[in-house]
Amino acid sequence: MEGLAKVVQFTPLDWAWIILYIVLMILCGVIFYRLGKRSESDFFLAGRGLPWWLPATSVYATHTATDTPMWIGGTIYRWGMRGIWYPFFSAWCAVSPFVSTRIFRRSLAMSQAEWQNLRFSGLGSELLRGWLAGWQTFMNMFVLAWVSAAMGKVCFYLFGWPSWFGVTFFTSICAIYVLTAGYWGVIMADFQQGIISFLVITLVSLWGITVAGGPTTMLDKLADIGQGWRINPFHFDAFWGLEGDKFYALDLITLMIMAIFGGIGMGNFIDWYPEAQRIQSAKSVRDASWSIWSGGMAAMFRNSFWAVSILAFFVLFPGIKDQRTYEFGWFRLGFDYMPAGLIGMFIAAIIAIHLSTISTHLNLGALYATRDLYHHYVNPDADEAKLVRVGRISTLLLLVGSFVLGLSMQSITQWLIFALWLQAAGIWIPSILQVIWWRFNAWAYLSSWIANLAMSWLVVFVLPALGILPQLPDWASFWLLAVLVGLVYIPVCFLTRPDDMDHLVKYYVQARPVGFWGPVRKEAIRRGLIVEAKSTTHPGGLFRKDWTPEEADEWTVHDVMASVFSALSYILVAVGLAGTLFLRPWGVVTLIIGIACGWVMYKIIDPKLKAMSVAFEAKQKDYIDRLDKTTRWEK
Amino acid sequence: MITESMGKIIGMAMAYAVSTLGLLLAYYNYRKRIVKADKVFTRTAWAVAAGTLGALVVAVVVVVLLANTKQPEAPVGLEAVDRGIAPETPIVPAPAETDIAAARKAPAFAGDRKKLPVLGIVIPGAVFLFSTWITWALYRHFSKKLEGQT
Repeated sequence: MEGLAKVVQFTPLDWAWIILYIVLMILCGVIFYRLGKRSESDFFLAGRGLPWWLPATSVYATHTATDTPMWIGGTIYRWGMRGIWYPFFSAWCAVSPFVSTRIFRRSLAMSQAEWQNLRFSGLGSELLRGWLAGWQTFMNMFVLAWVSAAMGKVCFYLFGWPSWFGVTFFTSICAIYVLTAGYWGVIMADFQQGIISFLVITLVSLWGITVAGGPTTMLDKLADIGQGWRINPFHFDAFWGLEGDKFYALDLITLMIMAIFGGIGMGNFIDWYPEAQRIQSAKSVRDASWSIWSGGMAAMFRNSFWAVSILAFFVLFPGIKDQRTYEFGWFRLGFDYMPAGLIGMFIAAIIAIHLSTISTHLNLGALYATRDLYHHYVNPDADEAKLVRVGRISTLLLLVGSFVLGLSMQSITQWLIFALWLQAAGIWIPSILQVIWWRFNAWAYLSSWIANLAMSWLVVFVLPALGILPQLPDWASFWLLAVLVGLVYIPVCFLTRPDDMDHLVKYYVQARPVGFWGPVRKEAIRRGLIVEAKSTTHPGGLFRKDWTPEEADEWTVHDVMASVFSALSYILVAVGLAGTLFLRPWGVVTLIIGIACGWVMYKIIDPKLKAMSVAFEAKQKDYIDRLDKTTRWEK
Repeated sequence: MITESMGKIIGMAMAYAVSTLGLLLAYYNYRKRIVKADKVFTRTAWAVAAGTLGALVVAVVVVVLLANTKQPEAPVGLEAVDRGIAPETPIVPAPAETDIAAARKAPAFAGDRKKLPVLGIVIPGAVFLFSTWITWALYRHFSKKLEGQT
């Protein structure tokens, strides 16, 4: 078996940089020990006081996992530039800052499971909280196992280490700072790791493009071998069809709808759960919004760099058929062509990506185990010192559990990750409905989760295996699952009672959700808990700067326009940056329009976010007290 | 030997089992702490839910039975590798045969990397120093904030 170990030669300079960067990354987390041990809120949310740019780099780091370059590399090599739409699901971060992020941050829930308890009432809400807490604790352990196992294989090929050592080594050194400093360590190390990985991704990609002869040569070579279509992100095989190996316009439309409208809901994508933690760690609603937006935008930049460099790899090696070979294209550009010293930094960046993923899931899994399972259900009267201790014990248990899974059940963890993506289809619409529709209750949401399990097995595995259903393309599977699961949760919703009105009013006044909340809003106004804002014409129109707190709390055309311009800026920047890297005039123009859209979005929404944040912060302490009472079952 | 399909089913079943444990913990706590439990379902709702669940269980059993009678297809991918039918492909692969010559000309392989040590020192060094400085600055900033709070 010939591996990369035979191709890459490490010099002492490479080793020096690898060791120095690892030491720096660990120290960066550990020195925040004093801050992490203060309280449950510090151990899991860094005291809810971070400026936007810290969680933003963490959002970016979270969206960049160990396997992301392989996945994006594989899609671009196979589909050409149109493959850039597969990782475009991160664009939920374009709309979420102005809708779901804002609502979730105002709820102040420490976890998504806790939010279910605030949004819904009664037994249903408790069951949902317990269900999601169990799901998230276990899933984070599974993700840890899977990522560690992947790192074990990489270490075997790079360093020749035995598998068990590769699985446990980097994950264990990451656990040092997660155990000592909790989320403080995670977020600070993520900031540093995010910067390192972003710089190295840019550097390696540009290096690869240069090695392939530069943009003009690349385009010429692609045209010469009849592959010029590969630089067109809107190249479709047909508008629609049912063949799995074709890229249809309907694939793009489905991906766009999933990403952009997904920003309205909570929990539509597995990325939502770590980002929810980042949202609550930001010091204000405004900081939370900009952290999600910027982190997502950084991922768009990264995707464009990766896409063009993978095309450079395609130009260098155009005939690779084996998926596992071409998926490693971006790594090959770095390992094969970079000089001594930079290889060391490249490895350090891969380790940084790994550590940021591991630290996130260790702390996130421990959050659900501690806040939702232990604090809410097992020991509601636990003091802060005990909660931090339980947080550390949970972290350790997750670590050990992930090693057991990673070393003994690698195949299962690998397949489960695939199943997770599939799982998103059936609960995509319910995750939006729970945010925008007052009548959608806990029973409906819970039933959608359970129904999705059966339906996804049927649609994707069982029925195709029996020949009853063909192997459907992604877009068809998604919509079929959405419809089938809908056949379960819609009747359940109407057959069960709506949530308690007192509970809904309390939630509405605090979180101010968007959508169909008419009866709840009327009741809140009747009770004098909110004031109905008068619709008047203000000077400044879309770009008005003076907002009263009451006006800022209302949903207006500004939110819609900001979301539209934000989504446009994500799309145009992703396409425009790739075009610019090819030195195409259309690329430069598209990129400039994309940046302009971002600027217009900022001008429209930032004054409103500022006004809303100031008013909300004044009430935040009372809301947090109330939240703690709910967790401790005190009414 | 666990097949791919079996692995998916076991994995999902484990995840759902743990979620169910969380759900049961929540149920137990709700009954214990909120004395007056909700009556969420009407009789019709109970009947519909029980009927649907029953139908689903029957459907799954039938489908599994049918699936077992179907002739298994030739194994592909990892399954084929595990059974020794196909050669193993490394996760981090070697260059394809046609790439070897090109890879050997690359600086990383041919030993030419030593010709560019300046870049290998300056760029990682600059990033390292910047990272160290930003870490220290962040620690100072938040530590001062902590001192102010205590």
